[in-house]
Amino acid sequence: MTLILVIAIALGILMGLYVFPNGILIYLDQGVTLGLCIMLFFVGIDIGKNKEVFNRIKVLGWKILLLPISIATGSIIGAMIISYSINLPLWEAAAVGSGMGWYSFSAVIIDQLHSTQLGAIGFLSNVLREILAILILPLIAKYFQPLYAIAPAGATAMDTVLPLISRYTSPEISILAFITGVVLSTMIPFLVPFFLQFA
Amino acid sequence: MILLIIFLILGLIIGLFDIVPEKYMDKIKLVPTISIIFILFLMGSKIGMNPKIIQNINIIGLKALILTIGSIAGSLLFIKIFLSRMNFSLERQEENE
Repeated sequence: MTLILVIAIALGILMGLYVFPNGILIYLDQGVTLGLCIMLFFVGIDIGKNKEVFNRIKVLGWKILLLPISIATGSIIGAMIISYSINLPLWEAAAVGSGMGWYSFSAVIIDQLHSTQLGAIGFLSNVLREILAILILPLIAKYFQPLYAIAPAGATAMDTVLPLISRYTSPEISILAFITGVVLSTMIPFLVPFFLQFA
Repeated sequence: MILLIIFLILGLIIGLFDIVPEKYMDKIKLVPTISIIFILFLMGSKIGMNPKIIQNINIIGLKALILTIGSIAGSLLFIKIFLSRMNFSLERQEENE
């Protein structure tokens, strides 16, 4: 799937470089907004269908929500602190960090609300988050408490990285990972625009 | 922006209340996939039309990588704080169940 998405964006870059005239830029933006509305609506239906998640949260106690909240806080603060070393404004780093691996959405929303350049950073950074999460997961599961394995995955803990989490940890951790991914995915559409207000 | 949040919340409500019959769910799962391929193609086109990005792609890539490392390190650190503050253990959860 990631490959298809990377091909889509690469094909777009080539079309933008060599084929499309500059005049269609406005229409591209309108197309993106329309696409995002459709996507979020159907993602919403899919997430809302997972009523077991809500029941699980009740069983485990609402305290469990502190897990995704910790991951979100850490991701955002970590990006903000490290932004000093790369000369990137603080709130721009916060917006990129709050994408938490949901690269398709966060990149596009940053592009729409801020700039195409920061959108490109958001895309690459969040793609790398998914790739690095997959690469370091076996190591983290081996040397840390299993719960740590959820953190690098961020929002991808509910889909692409979930099979790996379940392979290297326990079923309990996998359920927590899924819940965390769902909660983070619901938070991201609010978080990224929130930080972009200040950027 | 508000428009996007409204669409997300509308979707969540429809999902929660089972308004969509189960037999259409497989098709519904396909829609976000198709739309994101379309959206990323458009976003790629915008990148291609922006010479500033194409010329600085190495710097952009490096910045992205450093941000990712910061984010992952931060999230691991906050899980540590979460675990130490919450006295959270899986055994306790099983008792709750």
